[in-house]
Amino acid sequence: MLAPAYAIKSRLQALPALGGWSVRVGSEGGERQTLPALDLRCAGARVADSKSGAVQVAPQWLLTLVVARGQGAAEQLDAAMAAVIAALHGWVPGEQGARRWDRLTLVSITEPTFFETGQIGYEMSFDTQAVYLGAAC
Amino acid sequence: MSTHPFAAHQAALNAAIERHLPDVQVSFSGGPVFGGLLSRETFDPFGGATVDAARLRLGFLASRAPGLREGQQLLIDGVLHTVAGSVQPDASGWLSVTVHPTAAPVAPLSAYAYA
Repeated sequence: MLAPAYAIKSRLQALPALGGWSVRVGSEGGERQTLPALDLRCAGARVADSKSGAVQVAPQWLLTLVVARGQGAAEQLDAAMAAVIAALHGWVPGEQGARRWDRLTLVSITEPTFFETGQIGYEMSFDTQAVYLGAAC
Repeated sequence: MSTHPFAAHQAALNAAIERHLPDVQVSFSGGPVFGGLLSRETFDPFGGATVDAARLRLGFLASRAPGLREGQQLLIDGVLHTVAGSVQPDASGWLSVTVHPTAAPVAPLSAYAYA
């Protein structure tokens, strides 16, 4: 289920609008202080369909975009958000981890959160899905 | 100074704290330098180990920075910090505010490509 993470990360890292951003995957670990940052992690999955021999598993990918609060921060964040949508919404990860993943769909964007500690950010959620075979096949 | 005994003790205590316990030098709006107490603790803005940040709280005598408001800046040990959140001194005149290092301005929108 986590296999598409690195394909998504590579695609995001290639975006000019994210030049200078720290693009990181939750499962990798590593330093988390650098800003601006885009944190990518799997936020669970729903079972989109279920038959006797297979299930359609639809993981939700959570992208947290964070920049330092200050002059130009909102514009920086919005530019990144537009670039992320352009790169991921409708994109097909394809074969990842020996499984074929359907196109990504933007599901939601949270309201921006302003922190007293000097950050501003919001979370974007994307869905994709793949078939997993059960014991009856 | 108040003639109420307890208020006088509080004022004396605040003055003693400022005199003997400061761990940073602070100035506001080009004014004189005064002592403050800076505390620092870890903070994860979004939870889930997304960002490793610090919450900074600065305590000092409110009378040292008259007119201080949220969004204004304090120079703490030579580093510019922005005041974020409430600016409400307690009844004794001691003020604790949340601050963060002032971020450098970001290039305007036109400098970004939309992929």
